[in-house]
Amino acid sequence: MIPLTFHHSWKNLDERSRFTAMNEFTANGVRHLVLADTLLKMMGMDYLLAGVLREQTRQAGVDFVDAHAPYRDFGDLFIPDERDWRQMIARQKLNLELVSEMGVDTCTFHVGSKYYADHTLDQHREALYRSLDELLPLAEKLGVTICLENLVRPLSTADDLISYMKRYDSPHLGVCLDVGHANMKEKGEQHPDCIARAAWAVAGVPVRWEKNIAETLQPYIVNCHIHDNYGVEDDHNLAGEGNIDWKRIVPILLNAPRLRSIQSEVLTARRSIPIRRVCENIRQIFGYSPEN
Amino acid sequence: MIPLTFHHGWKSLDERSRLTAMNEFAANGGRHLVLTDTLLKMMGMDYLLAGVLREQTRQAGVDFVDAHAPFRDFGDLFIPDERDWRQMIARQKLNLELVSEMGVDTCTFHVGSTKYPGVTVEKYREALCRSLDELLPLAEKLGVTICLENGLTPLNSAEALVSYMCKYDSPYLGVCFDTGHANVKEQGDRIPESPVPQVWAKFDLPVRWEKEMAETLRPYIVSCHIHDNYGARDDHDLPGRGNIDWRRIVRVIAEAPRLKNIQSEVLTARRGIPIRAVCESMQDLFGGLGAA
Repeated sequence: MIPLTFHHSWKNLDERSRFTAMNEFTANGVRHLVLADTLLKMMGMDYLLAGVLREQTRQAGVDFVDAHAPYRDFGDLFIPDERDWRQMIARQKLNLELVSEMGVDTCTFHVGSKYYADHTLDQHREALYRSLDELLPLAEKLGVTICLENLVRPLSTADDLISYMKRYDSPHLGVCLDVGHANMKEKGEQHPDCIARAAWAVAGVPVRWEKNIAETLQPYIVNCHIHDNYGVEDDHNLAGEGNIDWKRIVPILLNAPRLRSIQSEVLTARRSIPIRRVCENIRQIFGYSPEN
Repeated sequence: MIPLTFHHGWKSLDERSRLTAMNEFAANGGRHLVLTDTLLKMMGMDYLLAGVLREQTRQAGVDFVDAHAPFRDFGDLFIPDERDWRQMIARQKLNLELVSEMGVDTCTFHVGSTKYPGVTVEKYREALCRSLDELLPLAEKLGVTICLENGLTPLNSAEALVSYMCKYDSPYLGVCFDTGHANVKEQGDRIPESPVPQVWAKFDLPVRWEKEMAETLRPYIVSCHIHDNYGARDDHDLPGRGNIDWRRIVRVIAEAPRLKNIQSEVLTARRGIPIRAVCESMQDLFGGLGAA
């Protein structure tokens, strides 16, 4: 059975509150959590946090199954500026070590969202290749699969991701299907306010709307982000609080040949959503208990 | 002119208080600050802090001149455990990138103090050399000199540091001479409560007491830590609040051929010492050398 994993906002929680939240997940039948970008950043400052997290998850009866690398500034893989790229690579290599240290074997990365105005899209793509050339051998050594996430921006379309998969053809490179991002990309054409328009305008190119993103990416999907929206903004709502066709999405995911985990990326803290509701929601959508 | 640089306890300061402290140094003639291990750890979590620090130092009219890498757990260079070593190396490579990013060209590292049970001095030394083999090429590429600091263990005695300098013979490897540590080591054989025998006992070795450590290390000194004590404990007190013979030390430091900076490592926050007192103390000691 594919494990269901849960994102949570750990940033503003002190040690005790973090443990309480872990227990809250356990009380709702959850066994697996996401090693979130926030936790990896905290581990960047607190050299002993890995040990603390191991002990807290052990006590709470949960574990970390998948991870999300920090993104945007000094986190995006496509950074074309040499100095910024060097800093990003050093940070992401450390993050891969920490992911492995926590016993996690998939880590989602963003291709990128912050474009450097003095560089072309092709230069951003070349920088992405350079990043993967550096990170993939380490990922392989550590037994971690790097999952590139579809975003609503250039260089992160389904076609782009497939081209990267084919270029590297590695079992340590896969896709993280973000169903919310895919929904905006598929339905945004009907919405003048869809955030994809601004995201592509920043890069100076017209939006390439897409259809059937989940179907296109299915052979490469290793993990996924489950959340809902109305095709306009990246709401990270509960499944059902949006217009995603879950009857279509769920079978595609469950039949994805490389799928290793199904991740709730409902943003609990941003939207003040109780943990219990997130757990019940994913159980309802996928038809099985979060205990798996 | 050799820059005088100042350590400060930044950890518990918020952004505004940090700028106030920088202004306090500037108001007391302090023009150069240490990029401390605490700041580097904070930069490990806060990916944008480098930019904030650059702006704050610009506003305050100060700059960072030297750095101190994080130490102890996952910071010590002599870590013999393979997994811990990998994490440490990834962290220290990132720290070197950040040091360079901040325009700093010397960074002090601790050989190590965390004890792994059952590990011989020879194994530690091998791990240290493995670390230097990894870090020195990066340091060279970035133009940063790695300074190994003398401490109280068999692996960071003056004799041991000289052996590392001879082995690598690199302009990117030098010594950070810590006056307080040297005083504890030089006077410990006359002080019953000296911590040195306990430290060496952990390595199953009798203490090899040293004298004239400053003189021994003088050819390799690139950076130094200025603070005082009475030989019994590592107090990190103001010069004069201890029994270090400063006339001797200042003379040796003044003649160190590779010296790049003189760093106050008086622990202001730990001991409630005002910035003004530290600045005046350093000027009194080293102003005569033309240092500022």
